[in-house]
Amino acid sequence: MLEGFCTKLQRHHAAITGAVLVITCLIPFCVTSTYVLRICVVAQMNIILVLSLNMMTGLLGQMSFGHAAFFGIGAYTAAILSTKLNMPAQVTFPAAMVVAGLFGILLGLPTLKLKGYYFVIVTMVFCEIMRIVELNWMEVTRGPLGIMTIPKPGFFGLRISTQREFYFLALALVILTVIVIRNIMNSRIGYAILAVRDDEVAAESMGINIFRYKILVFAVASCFAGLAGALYAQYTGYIDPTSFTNNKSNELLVMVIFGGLGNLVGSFIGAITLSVIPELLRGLATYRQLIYGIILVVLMMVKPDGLLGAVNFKYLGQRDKLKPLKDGGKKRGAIWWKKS
Amino acid sequence: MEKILKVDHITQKFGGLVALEDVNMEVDSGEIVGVIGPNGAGKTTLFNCITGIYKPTEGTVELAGKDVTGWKPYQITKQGFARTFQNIRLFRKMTVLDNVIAGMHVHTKSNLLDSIFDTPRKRREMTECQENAEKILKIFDLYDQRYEMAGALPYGKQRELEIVRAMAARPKLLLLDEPAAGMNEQETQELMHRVGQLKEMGYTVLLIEHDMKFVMNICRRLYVLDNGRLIGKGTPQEVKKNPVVVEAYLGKDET
Repeated sequence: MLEGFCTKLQRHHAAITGAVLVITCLIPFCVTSTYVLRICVVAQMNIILVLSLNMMTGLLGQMSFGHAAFFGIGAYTAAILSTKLNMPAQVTFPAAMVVAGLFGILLGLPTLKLKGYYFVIVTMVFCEIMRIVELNWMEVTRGPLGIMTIPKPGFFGLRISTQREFYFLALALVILTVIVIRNIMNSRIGYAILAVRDDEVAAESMGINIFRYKILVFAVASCFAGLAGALYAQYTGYIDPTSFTNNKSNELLVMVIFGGLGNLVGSFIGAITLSVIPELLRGLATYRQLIYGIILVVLMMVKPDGLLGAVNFKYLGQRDKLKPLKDGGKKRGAIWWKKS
Repeated sequence: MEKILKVDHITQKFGGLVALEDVNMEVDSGEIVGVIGPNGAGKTTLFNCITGIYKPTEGTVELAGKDVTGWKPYQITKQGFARTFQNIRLFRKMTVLDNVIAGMHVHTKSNLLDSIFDTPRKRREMTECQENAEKILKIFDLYDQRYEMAGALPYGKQRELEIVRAMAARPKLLLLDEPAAGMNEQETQELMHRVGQLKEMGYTVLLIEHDMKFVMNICRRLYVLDNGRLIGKGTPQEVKKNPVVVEAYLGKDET
């Protein structure tokens, strides 16, 4: 049933993507509540994080419990550059990406040779190490006091300050993330990444340098986590180490798994749903965490690989194109809005 | 004739266990050569030494005149070896077509920037890959299943797909590790036909096999391993008559 539905989605994916994009652009003009727009921006930031973590976890197959560390590294980089050196956003944002990416490479070089659980533990510990560094390196991070009054970002003199402007900035960054990840996955590098996920021994015997591709994906995923960090720091104007703990890493991983490992559309659904649900349940106060937990448990029981974990839109589309040969093209010709 | 593979005095030890001892072999261009031997004779170990999964304790492996001993598997594949596995190792969650495209990795060149910016060079390369992959799949009658998940194919087809994926790397030498293992009579017949096709297409093949009929029919030369040592070599007829080989396979005469 899900597969049939997704095939239909894929058949009209251009129209659906267009419609979603238009609606997304209209939201900040229809909704004026600062609170709602704030949730939207946070959800978009989470989308960037979840997409990049999904590339690491779902597409490459390396479970990482330390994504928040790179998010934090990006946030601190942007915060320090903009408060201490008054750098504009066209510098702080790329710098956050580069620094986070470098940390990704540095962590990856000695650890990506580790398999499975060992790598998971290393990422977990790395996240904790980063938190402790952030907490204790007073001269740079101001420790538990955090960095305050981080200036709002300005790109080439164009200042971003209202909620609506932030909304569109975040949207642009989300689109950038999707395009980059999608383009990588559609290239020979993407095929190599999937091959590594499915079988490392076979991948290596097909001439794929698995270590190189693992480092590459780790670096790219960390870059985008850093980008989300820069957005977070300059959007909220205040950061401290409590935002970048293992809790955040786990939350992100739950979003990835909720949407489905390896499915980028799923990452959108996971990030949006799990960013919005806690807000919707705010009225229930104490029961909030309980209900959130129950939703997750039920989902894991019904669909253990997440909502869209078993769906591959590309393959559904390819198979769908073969169908007209079988039923004479009748089914495909009948587009629902043209039904007379 | 050009020597494609030259294995020179290879010894492989695992701790105190000697898995291979002083093995020599050669494969010429365009040949189909078989390696046979009872279970545990060291056939797969030999393959793993040649393809770089193990580093031989002693001896050298030469591929088309180049010493590749101790290289990493992916580097060796770049030099021109491609292999299949005894226990099928496909990219199970990818389609048949994508498996073959992934197999072309060593012949594609576009880098990370090409990929991110979706340059014409990358697009051209991907289209070429797809066309070539479809071409080979047609030859091997897998074209109709090209959008099926590799893991969902029937057993015999999975084996064939693994061979096709290895061919996609356009190797100088194709190594097949027990291609007929677990196949029924009919599937084996079909496979024999496939390997014949490979020969016609000019591939050089080295294969390990248990199925005697299979090897005797398609191999021009055979090497026989037992307990890590080479105990015989020659044409299938010569090997069949070799008393040492007969003894290894059937046991010693009691008289």
